[in-house]
Amino acid sequence: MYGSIRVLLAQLLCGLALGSELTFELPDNAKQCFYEDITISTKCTLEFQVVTGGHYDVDCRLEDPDGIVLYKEMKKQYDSFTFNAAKNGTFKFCFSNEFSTFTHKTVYFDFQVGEDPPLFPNENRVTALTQMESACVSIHEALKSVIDYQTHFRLREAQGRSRAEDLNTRVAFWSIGEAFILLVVSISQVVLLRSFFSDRKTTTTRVGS
Amino acid sequence: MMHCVPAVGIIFTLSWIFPGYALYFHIGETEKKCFIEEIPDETMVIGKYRTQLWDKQANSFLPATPGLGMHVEIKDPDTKIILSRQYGSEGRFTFTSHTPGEHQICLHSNSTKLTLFAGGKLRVHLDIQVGEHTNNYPEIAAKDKLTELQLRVRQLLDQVEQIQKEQNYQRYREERFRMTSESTNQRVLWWSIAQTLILIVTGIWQMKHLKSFFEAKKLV
Repeated sequence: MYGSIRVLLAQLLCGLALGSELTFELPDNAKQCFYEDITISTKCTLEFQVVTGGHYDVDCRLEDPDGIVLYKEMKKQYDSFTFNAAKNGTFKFCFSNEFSTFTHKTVYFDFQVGEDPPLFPNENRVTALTQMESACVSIHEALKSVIDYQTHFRLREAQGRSRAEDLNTRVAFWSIGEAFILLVVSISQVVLLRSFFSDRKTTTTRVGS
Repeated sequence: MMHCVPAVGIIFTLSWIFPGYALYFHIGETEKKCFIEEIPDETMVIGKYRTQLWDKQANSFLPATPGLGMHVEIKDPDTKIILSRQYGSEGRFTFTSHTPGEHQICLHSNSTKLTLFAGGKLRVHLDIQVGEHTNNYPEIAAKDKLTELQLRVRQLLDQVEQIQKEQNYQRYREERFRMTSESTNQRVLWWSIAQTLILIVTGIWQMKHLKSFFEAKKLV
């Protein structure tokens, strides 16, 4: 009984697996930071992608508990960074849009800490898996990567789609605007020309008399 | 089975000390933080949050503060509000999407205590799980009495179902994209023709009008 509890405790302390996947809006000149407490020698992965906004780029910075910068990239569209936590403590990662003056950016990030929690909190984990079980585990891992690819594909498609919708509204707006300007300019040209000739007519008559 | 009970008890106590949702960020007093979840329809989303208030005297965050509230507002892709509720300092919200698309989850604190005691800093721990991640497998195993292999197969089935839903949503999005492109194509075509016609018509009108004007003024 105590053996099983010890195994469970060991699992909980070493492999406290958490995965956070969020999409948020980063306004212009803004910086958003996220923090996570990680235990030592946990394998972590940070993946981010800019979904909409401007040139689809963002500054990203990852710091360890002592403030040492582990990862720093400026104006990156998409990247993935894997590291092993060398210390216990709060790791911090920030996304910055401070270089942009008026474009909001939507940023997606996926921060995986540790391995997936075991499906069944039981004692049999210390024994080897059967062939069926290990086949299931490999299918599970493959499906996880399929879902991951689907997510990235969806984000890229969202980029294209938002550009297309922007283009659609802009075409309508500017076409109507241009037609209106055209009419206004041509009518005012005629009115202006008429006003030139009307003035000269009155001045000539005045000079005449 | 008997030795599972204290083990489960330890898991629960440990999940209280090491919180299950450890990603956190800081939020200002009236600041509204919104997160976007682009999901297919009939997908369940579970969100859990925990807030901590900054204690100026102790110069750290308090473990839990009663009376601190967060307002959660969830909008569907048609910007219709599907959930708008006030929760305590710790909350759990669930919703199932009925239309595919971008759902927006917004959190803001409308507590005035922040300005008085905390100097405007609030720490929010957040965890949002979507689709098959919302399933609680140990619970399902206990309820349906499944062996480990059966549970693994059930998990694979859930994953495949999620992939199918996502691909269905992708087909719907591609259809919308195609409709948008065709609408842009139509608009460009018709507005170009209209503008050319306006140009020609106004040109002809200008010439005719000025000719008749000069003839009337006896300048031609």
